[in-house]
Amino acid sequence: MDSIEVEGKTYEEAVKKASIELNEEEKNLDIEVKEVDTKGILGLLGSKKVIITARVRETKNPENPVELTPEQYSENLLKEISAFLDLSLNVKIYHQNERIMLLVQGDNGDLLIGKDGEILDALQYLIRLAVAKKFKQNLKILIDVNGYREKKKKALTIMAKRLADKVKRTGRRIKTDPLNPYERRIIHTLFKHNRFITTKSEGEGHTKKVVISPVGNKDGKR
Amino acid sequence: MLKELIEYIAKALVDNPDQVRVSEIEGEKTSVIELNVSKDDLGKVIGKQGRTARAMRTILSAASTKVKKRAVLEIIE
Repeated sequence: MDSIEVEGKTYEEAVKKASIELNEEEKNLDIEVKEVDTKGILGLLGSKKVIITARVRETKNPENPVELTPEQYSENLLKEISAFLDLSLNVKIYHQNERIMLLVQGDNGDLLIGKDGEILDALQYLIRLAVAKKFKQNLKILIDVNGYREKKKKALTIMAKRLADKVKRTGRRIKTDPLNPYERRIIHTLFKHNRFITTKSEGEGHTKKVVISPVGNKDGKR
Repeated sequence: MLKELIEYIAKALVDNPDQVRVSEIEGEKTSVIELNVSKDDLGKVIGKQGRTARAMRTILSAASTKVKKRAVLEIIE
């Protein structure tokens, strides 16, 4: 594929021109900046010129693993599966604490949550598996729909603090309801630096209870 | 549509996507979705303690309420 040389006042303008000329979306172009020419004082005045070379990236096949990033792939999966549920959603992607965050927004996006976030968790789990499979690495992926996880996190925090107060008052340990790993982590993190409270997970399988105990009395026995 | 959904998910999880076969046996109220995969991929669609299968069933039932039906996923061994 031949590359073309385009000139523009700004980088964006040059890319846009290249996109029109090659009749291809900007994201499918390989761009190289050849020359940035700034005239005038600090480039603020006068003319500015950017020359780029652009060409259409050779493989545009969305199935091609070399092309897709894990982010794009997980977004595709999410959109495809939602489409089966007749949902068309708006997905925003960003990174937080080495996690890929997929923020979903949409009028009937709540259908993706389910009872106690059941559907959302299933979806997240399957997408994580598929991404791990394709890219041969375990990436943490978190999907949130219409702020559901944030709300849940707040509710959990309030609940855990209330239980901790009770533990402090009575000196006895308390168990939470069964929680999934993500929810447990929220509670563990919350009391990580607390001098009065320690937490640990108890039970088998995917959902475990968190035991909130007073410090120095981990078994809750006197 | 339910069949295609399971097919799509299963193909993303297995090593041999070309050996994924899904059939739908439609009843009046209930559909049975049968998923066939290569022997080596069975573990992939079932998962630890059946977690993957359970996740697929969850998504499937979400999709089936949309079409006002019940759907059961059977993984054929």
